[in-house]
Formats: sequence, C-alpha cells, structure tokens
Amino acid sequence: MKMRHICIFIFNFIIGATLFAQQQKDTIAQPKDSVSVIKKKYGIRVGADISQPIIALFEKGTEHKSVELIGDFRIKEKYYIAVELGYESKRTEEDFFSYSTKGSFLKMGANRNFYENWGEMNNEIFVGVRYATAFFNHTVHQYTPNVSNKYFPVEQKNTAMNFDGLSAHWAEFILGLKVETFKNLFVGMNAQFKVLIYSKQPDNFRNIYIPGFRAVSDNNLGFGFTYTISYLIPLLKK
Amino acid sequence: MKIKQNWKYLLLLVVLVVSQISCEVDDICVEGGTPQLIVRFCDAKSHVDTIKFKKPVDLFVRAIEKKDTLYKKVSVDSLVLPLNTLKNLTSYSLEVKSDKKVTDEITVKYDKKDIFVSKSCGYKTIFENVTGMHTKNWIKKIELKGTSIENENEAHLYIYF
Repeated sequence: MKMRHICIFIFNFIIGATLFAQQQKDTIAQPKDSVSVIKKKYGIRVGADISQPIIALFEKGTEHKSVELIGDFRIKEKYYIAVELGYESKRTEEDFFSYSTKGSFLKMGANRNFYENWGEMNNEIFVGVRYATAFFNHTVHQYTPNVSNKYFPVEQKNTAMNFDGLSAHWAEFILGLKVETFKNLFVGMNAQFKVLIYSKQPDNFRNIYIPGFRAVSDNNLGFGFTYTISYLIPLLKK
Repeated sequence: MKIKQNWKYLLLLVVLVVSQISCEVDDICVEGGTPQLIVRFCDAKSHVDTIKFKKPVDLFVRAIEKKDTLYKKVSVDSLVLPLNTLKNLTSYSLEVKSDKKVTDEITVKYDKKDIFVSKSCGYKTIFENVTGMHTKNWIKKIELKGTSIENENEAHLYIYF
C-alpha cells in the first residue's frame, strides 16, 4: 500500500511538472504566436488506463485484472465525445467472506475542455459526464456467519454461490487533465464521481463491487481515479 | 490570466489529493451480525398486559453441552443468550438459589438461515420457526414473542417464575 502511494505521488509529480514546464515555455512564446491564426488538430484519440495494471502489481493478496480502453473524438473546439470500455475481474477478501466479481462495462458521454491553449498546444483541463453500464456476475467463495459471541463454535461455509446475469447503470462526473507530452501522445489523469442509478441485485448478496464502478458505498456512490495514456490519430486541422 | 489559471491548478490539485485520501475508508459492521436470544424474567403473578419484570436471585447460566458457565451469580431481569448456529436447538440450564439450588432447563428449537447483511458485516444467521420448551422446577411458564429471531431490537423469550 505504501509502495502504491509512492507510485501515485511520483506519477502526479511527473504529469504536474510537464504541464507547468509547458506553460512557462509557451508564455514566453506567446507574443509571436498570438498574431497568426492557429489551426487545431481534430481526430480520434485512442488509449488505455495505465494505472490499474501498475497498481495490480503492488496489490498483494487480491487477484485483480482490469483492462480499460479509452477513446474520444473532437467535435468542436472545446467539446469531445468520449467512450470507455473495459473488463474487470477481482477477488476480494473481506472480514467475514471472500468473493469475486467479473464483467465488462461501457461508458459514453462528453468532455468539455476549460484549458486555454496557446499556439499549437493541445492540453486539456476538462469536466465530463458519462452514462455507464456494466454486465457482470459474482461468486461468493466462502463465508463465516458473523457471530460476535464466541460461546459456541462457528464454522466457515465453503460452498461457492454464483450470482449470474447482473447489470448496473450509473452516471459519472469527471474532472481531469490531459497533457500532450510528445507529438500526438497524451498522458492524463482524472477523478470520477459515480452515482448508481439502478442495479439488478442478487438474491442474498449485494452489488458491493461493480466492474467499471468499483467499490459501491452504502449510499450507492463511488469514486475512481485513473491515469491514462492515449494517442491522437489526426484526421483534419481547422 | 496567469493568476486565474494557477487558481484552477490549485483547485484541481486539492480535489485530486482529497479524492485519493478519501477512497480508503475502513468500514465497521454497524448493522449487526447473528442475533442472540434476548430473555426477560417476569413475575408469574403479573398479568399479561401489565408484565412486571423480576430478578431471579444468584442465577447461573450454562449451555447443556458446555462446561463453562455463561453467567455466574447474576441478578438481572434480562439476559442475552447466544444460540448455537451449528445445531437446530440450543439448551440452557438456569440455576437459581432460593433456599437451596434449583435448576431448570430451557430448550429452543429453530431452523437456520444465513442472510447477507453488508460488506462489513458479511452474512448473519437468523432463526425461523422457533419453538421453546422448559422444565418446571422454578420456572412456571415461558412465552415466545413471534416465531423468528432476526435482530436484537426486542426481547424474544419471556420467562415467568
């Protein structure tokens, strides 16, 4: 866990430093550029979430696989249509039971860029909204009934229980940034606030984890944090 | 312009830092696990509608199959007795001291069912189709409130003596 925080810190530092460095450089170059009309690149940007595979390396005791592909398409100077899709499988050991969740998810929506780019800069500080849906199943591998009084012995139950055919729908509100570090190559990070709208609950278990949504709190809210790397396929300039 | 942008960065940084700290909250079980049998002692002479609670003197409580006592020499008008989740019945011996030691046995029979509570509490065992029996040395009558034991909000078993 400590290692994970160190990694997150280093990553934040690198991204932050890149953005600030660019800003300084471009402030100096500004008077020259401001006269001419600069054309902006439009195209399809594709990429992936890189934080989960890295975090998974340091997560001892949990089996967690997560793949998330991201893509966006610029429709106006400040507006992007954005899509994320992925697959997640995670085994978690809780105090009184252990369970796995497997499934895929799809998120669709738009981002609005609030960053004022100078010259040929192509960075983003954006807010976004998504509609998201996931299809998944849970398996409870074992549980021990929660008995606080230890006067009688308690037995662990090892019969696996499967809960199939589950689904969920939620809304996401995103705040993030993307920085063009090399030509057409972007690194980014964003935080997502999630509100579960509807989920098909299993009998005698609960959707406490949903692929793409991750941990679901008691009041059906969720929080996510993602680092991304993406490549812009430029299609036109205008 | 520059100040305005720096302000945005600061806001973003604060939001990102706070979000990372707040993701990992250890939750504790507040909903409650497997319920225990809540027993109240009542005066056998009191009327059903106006129950008078009464404390037995120097009560010793022990499950029949166990050697160690659960309560030693207590004088209270209510008890909390765990039920055995590995069996379909639990028997307790209740010994009181009036002139000499008098022992009675109460047996509670039930069907068990494990139901999911929450992430932090896991599964709890609830008891259904509950019935009770007793011997009659000092206990006059027992009365079960309802046929299932699902929580510890109210007393489940009234013992009249």
